[in-house]
Amino acid sequence: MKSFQRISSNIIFFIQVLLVFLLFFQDKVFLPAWLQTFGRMHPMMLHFPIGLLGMSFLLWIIKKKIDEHSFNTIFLFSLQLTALAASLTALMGFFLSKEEGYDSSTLFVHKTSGVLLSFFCSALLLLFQYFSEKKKLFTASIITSSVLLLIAGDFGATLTHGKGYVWQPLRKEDDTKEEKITDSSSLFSAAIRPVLKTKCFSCHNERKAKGELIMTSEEKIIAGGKNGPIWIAGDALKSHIIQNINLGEDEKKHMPPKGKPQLSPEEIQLLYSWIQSGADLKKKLKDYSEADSLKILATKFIQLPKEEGEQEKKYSFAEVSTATIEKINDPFCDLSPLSQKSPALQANFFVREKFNRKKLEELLKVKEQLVILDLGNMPVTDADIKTISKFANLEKLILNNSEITNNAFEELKQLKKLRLLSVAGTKIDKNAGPVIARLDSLKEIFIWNTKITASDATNLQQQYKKINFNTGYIPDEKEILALTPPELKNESFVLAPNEKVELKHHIPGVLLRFTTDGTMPDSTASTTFTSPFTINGFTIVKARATKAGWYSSPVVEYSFFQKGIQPQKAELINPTNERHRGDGATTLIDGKKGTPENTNDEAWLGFREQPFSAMFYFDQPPSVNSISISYDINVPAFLMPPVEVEVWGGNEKTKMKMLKKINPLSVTKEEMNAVRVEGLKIDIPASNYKCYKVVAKNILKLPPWHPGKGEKGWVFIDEVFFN
Amino acid sequence: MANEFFNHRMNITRKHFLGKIGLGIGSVALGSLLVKDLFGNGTEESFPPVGLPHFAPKAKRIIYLFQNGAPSQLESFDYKPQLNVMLGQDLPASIRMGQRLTGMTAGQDKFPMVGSKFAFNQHGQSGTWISELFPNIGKIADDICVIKTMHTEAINHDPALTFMQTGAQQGNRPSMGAWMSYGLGSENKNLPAFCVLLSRGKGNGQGVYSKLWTNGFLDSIHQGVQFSNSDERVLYLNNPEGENKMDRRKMLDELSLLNAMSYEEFGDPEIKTKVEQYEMAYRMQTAVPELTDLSKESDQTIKMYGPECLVPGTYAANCLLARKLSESGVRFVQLYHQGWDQHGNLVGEMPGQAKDTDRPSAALVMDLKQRGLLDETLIIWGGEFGRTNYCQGQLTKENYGRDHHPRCFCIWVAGGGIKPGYYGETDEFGYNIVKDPVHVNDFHATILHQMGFNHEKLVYKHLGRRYRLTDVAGKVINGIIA
Repeated sequence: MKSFQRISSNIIFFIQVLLVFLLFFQDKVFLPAWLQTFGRMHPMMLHFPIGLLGMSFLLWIIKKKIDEHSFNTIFLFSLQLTALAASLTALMGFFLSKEEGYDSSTLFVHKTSGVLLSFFCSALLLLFQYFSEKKKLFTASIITSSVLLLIAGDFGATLTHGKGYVWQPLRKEDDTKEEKITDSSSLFSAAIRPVLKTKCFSCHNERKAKGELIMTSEEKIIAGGKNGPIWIAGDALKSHIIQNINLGEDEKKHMPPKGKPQLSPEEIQLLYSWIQSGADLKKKLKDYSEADSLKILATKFIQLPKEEGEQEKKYSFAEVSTATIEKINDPFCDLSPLSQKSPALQANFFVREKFNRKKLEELLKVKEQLVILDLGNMPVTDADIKTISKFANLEKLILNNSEITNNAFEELKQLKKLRLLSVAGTKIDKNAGPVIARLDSLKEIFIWNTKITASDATNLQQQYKKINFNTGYIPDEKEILALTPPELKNESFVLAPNEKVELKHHIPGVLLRFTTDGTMPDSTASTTFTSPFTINGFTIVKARATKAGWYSSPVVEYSFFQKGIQPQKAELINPTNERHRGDGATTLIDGKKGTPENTNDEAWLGFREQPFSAMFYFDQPPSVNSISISYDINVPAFLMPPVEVEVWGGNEKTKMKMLKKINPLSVTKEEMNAVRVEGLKIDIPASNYKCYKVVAKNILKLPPWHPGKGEKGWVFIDEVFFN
Repeated sequence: MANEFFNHRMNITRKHFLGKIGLGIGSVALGSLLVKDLFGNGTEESFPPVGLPHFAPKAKRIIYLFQNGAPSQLESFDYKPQLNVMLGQDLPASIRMGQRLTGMTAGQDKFPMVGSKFAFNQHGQSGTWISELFPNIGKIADDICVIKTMHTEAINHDPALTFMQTGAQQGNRPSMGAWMSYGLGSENKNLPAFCVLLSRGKGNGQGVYSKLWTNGFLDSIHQGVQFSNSDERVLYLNNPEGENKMDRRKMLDELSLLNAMSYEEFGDPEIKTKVEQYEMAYRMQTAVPELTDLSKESDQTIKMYGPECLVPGTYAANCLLARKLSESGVRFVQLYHQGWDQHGNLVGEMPGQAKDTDRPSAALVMDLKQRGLLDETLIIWGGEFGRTNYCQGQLTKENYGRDHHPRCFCIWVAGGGIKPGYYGETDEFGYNIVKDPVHVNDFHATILHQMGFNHEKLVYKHLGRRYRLTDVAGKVINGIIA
C-alpha cells in the first residue's frame, strides 16, 4: 500500500508538472503519431475520473457511517485513484486537443475546466493527507471539483456530439443545417446570411426574438418584426435595417446595439447593395454577371472552394508506382505525374531523330493514367494511332508536324475523354471533317498549316458547332512587309588578291540585286547576285533583296578595299593627335579596319592639329595606278572627310613630285548624323616609284550647320592601299 | 499545536526535495521532447519535395520577353488622355507625394506633364487600350491580360531588373528560371531547362549581365544557358575537327569514371552536376541542330514573325527560337531586348523599339496558340519599371523624354491559365495606382501559382534559413487567373 502511494503520488506530481509545461508551450507542441493514439484514448479514460470522483464524493458524505480507520484507508485510496485518473485524462485530453477540427471557444472552456479539475483532484489528495483537520476546506474543494467535473463534462459532450446534444430531444427543431456554398447557391445564402448570422442572429432568433424579429429563416425574416418588414426591396435608405445600422452608435435604436460586434463598412455596403438591387433571396450566384458590383462585393465574403486541393481534378483510377514511371522515362520520353497529388500522368517525346516506337508501346503500362500526350514534331504515323487510341483517359493529344493522315481520326474515336487535339502541320484535309465531328468529347482542334484552307475551316466550323476549329495565323494578303537587307559572307572589308565578294540572305527564294558603281540598285534592272564576284580597287557595293509578295529591302552599302601591293615600311611625317595614336605608322598598312562608331579603336589614326601626311616605302618599285585611303566619317564626333588629298611619288624621300591632288566631296547638312567608313580611290598615272607620300588635310572650320561650327574637324585614317 | 504539526509536515527532507525536483525536471524534459523549437532549433516544418508541382499546374513552361530598359507604359498600354489635356503643366505635388527622383531629374525645377504623342485604340472584347505603336499586339488583345498596376521598389535599372528577375535587389539570389528548373526539373533532358536569348534594340540601351540568370545558391545545373547570336547558336557544341561521335562517347565514359572516383573522395555534389552537364551537352549535339535549323520554317511562319526572324541575334529570331525551345520542353526561356531607356528622344526611339518587338511578340502568342500549346505556356512581356508622366529634359512640340518611375507600370501576360483583359487602374495622371496594385512579389507568387506551386513552400535552405523567390512577401493575384 505504501509503495503504491509513493509511486502514484510521484506519477501524479510528474503528470501535473508535465501538464503545466505543455500548457505553457502549447502553441509549439508537435505530436508524433503514437502520442495521438494516446490522446485519442481520452474519451475512454475520462469515465474513470467521473466515476472515481463521484465515489469519493459519496464516501465523503457517508464517512460518519464508517469507522475512522477503515474510512481513512479507503478514502485515501479512492482519492489517489481519482487524482491519478484525472491527471492522466487531462494529459490525454491535451494531446487530443492538438488535433484539428474542434471549435476553439468550446475547447478552451473544456480544456481549462479539465486541467483545473485534475489540479483540484490532486489538491484534494494533499489536503486529505496533510491537512485532514481542515474539513470545511475539504468539503468546499470536493464540491468545486464536482462542479468542474460537470462543466468539463458538458463542454466535452458539446465537442464530440455538437451543441445542445443532451437537451436537443427536449427542444423543437432549430437552425437549418448549413448548406455547402457552391456556384448555384443563392447570393443570399452565400454572402448575406453569413453576415446576419454573425452579427444579428444572437438576438433575433427563435428563442430570443428581440423586437419580435426572427432572422434565422427566410420566411420569418421577410415577415419582419413589430415595426413591420425590415427592408423595402429596391430602396435601401428607407429600409429599417439600413436605417438602424446607420444610426449613431449611442442611439438607442442603433443596431447591433452598443457593445455587440458591429458591422464592418464592407458588410453595410453589401447589405445596402443587395437591398438596393431588389433583395432577391433566391437569385443564384452564377446568375449574376461577373461585372455586377453586387457580385463583386459579395465575392469578398464568399469562401468558394478555390484552395489548392480543390483545383485538383479528381481521377478515379489508381496511382502507378514511381518505379514504373522511372522505368519508362528516358532522355527522349518524359513521363511524369501532373502534380504531387495527382495519379494522372503526362508524356512528352523529344528529338525527332531519336523517336522510338517501342517507347510509345511501353506507355501502355500506364494506359489508364495517361491524360496528356505530346508527340509534337515526332514522325508518328497512322499505324501508331492504334497504340495511342488505347489510352482510354487521354484528354489532350498533340500530333503537330507528324505523318498522320485523315485515316487517323477513325481510331481516335475510341478516346472518349479527348478534349483537345492538335494536328497543326500535318497532311490532313477537309475530308477529315465528318470523322473529327464524331470525336464525342472533343472541344478544340488545331488545324493550322494543314491542307484545310481557311474557307474549308469556315465551312467545318459552321457544320460542326460544338468543336472549335482553330486555324491559327492566316497571312493577310494585303499586308506586305519589307525584306531585311542582304548580308555579307566575307569577314573582312579588305579583300585578298582574287578574293570574291559574297552576299547572302536568310529567306529562301530572294533575289539579291547589287551595283558596284555607286548607283542605287534597282529592284528590277540591276544585276542579280548569283555567284561571288571580284572587284577592282576600292569599291562600294550597294545591294538590296527582292522577292515577290514582299517589299524590297532597304539598300545596304559595303565599302571594299583590295589588299594590293604591300609597302615594306610606313612613316608618319606629321604626328597624330596623342589620344589617337593607334600603333604608329604601321597601323596604316596592317590590313586592320576600324569600326566607324568606335573612335578609340586602335585601328584608327586621328589628326586634328596637323594634317595627315605619311611616307610609304617599297623595296622593289611596284607598278601603281591607284591609291585608296580608308577614312572614318562620324559627323557627330567631328570626324569629317579630308578637304584636300595629295599623292606624291619619287625614289628618294627628298626628291618627290606631286602626282595628283584632289578635293573630295564633303558631307552635307542632310548627313548630320552620318557614321560610316568611306574610301577614296585616287587614280594616278601608272608609275613605279620606291616612295610614295600621301597627304590628307582635315577641315579647319566646320560648316555653319554643324554643332561645332567654326572649330577644327578631324581626319581619321586606318588604311592606305596601293593597287 | 496545530502549527507544530503543520511545521512538521512542511519539513521535508533534502532527499525528498531532491527526489521531487528530479521527478519534476524529468517531467519537463519529457515534455520538451514535444516542443521542438524550445531552444530555437526551428520546427521541421514539412515542405513538399521538389521536382513536381505542388498541385496541378495551369502552365508547364514560361517564356519571359523582358523589355530591358523599361518601356514607357504611357506610350504602350496605359492610356492617359488627361496628360495631353494638361500638357506642359507642372505635376502637382499632391500627386507626386514625395516620390524620390533619380539623379537625372533631381535637378529639374519643373516637372511638366506630357501625354502620349501616339494614338490609342481599344482592342478585343475587353476593350483594352493599346497604343498604335503595337498594332499586332492589338490583334491578340483577347489572348493577353494587361496588368496596368505593376509596381516595384527600385528606381534604377540594375536593382529593378535584378528584383524583377530574382525577387531581391542585391543580386546573387536565384533567377526565376533557376527556381523553375529547381522546382520542376527538366522536361527535355537533351536541353537545358533554362535558356537565355539576348537581342539589342536601336534605342538607348542598358546592360544585361549574367547575374540575371544565375542559379544563386541553387545547384549550378539550374543556371540559365545563354545562346549565342551568331549562326552557331550554342557555341562549342560541335565536335572539334577530326573527332567523331564514338571518340566523344568514349572520352565522356572515361571522364565520368575519373569524376566518380573524385566524387567518392571529396563528396562534392558539384562533381555530379558536372558529369550531368557533360552528358546533357553530349545529347545537345543531336537536339540543338534540329532546333536551331530555321531553314525549314514555312513562308507563313516567316511572315508571322516578320522577315527578321531568320537573322540571328534579332528579337524576332529569338522569339521564333523561344517558341521552338519551349515547344521542345524547355521550362523557362528568358529573352532580353535592350534599348527601351528613353530619357530623351522618346518620340524618335520608341517607334523603332515597338516595331522590333510588336510583330514577333504577337506572333509568338499566336504560334503557340495554333499549335495547341498556349494553354500550357505562360508568356510574359514587360520591363523593370515604368516611366514618369512628366518630361525629362527639354519638352518641345516634337519630342520629350521620360525618367524612371517605379510606382506603376504595365506588363502583359498570356496563356497558362491567365484571364484575358486588363487588371488594375492607375489615376488619370498615370502616376499612382488607384485600384488593385500588383507588387513584384505578388507577380512572382502568381506566376508560381500558375506553375503549380504554393510560393511559400518552394524553398531552399541556405545560410541557415529558407529562401523563396518571393522571400517573405507576395500574395497570389486571383484577379488575373482564369
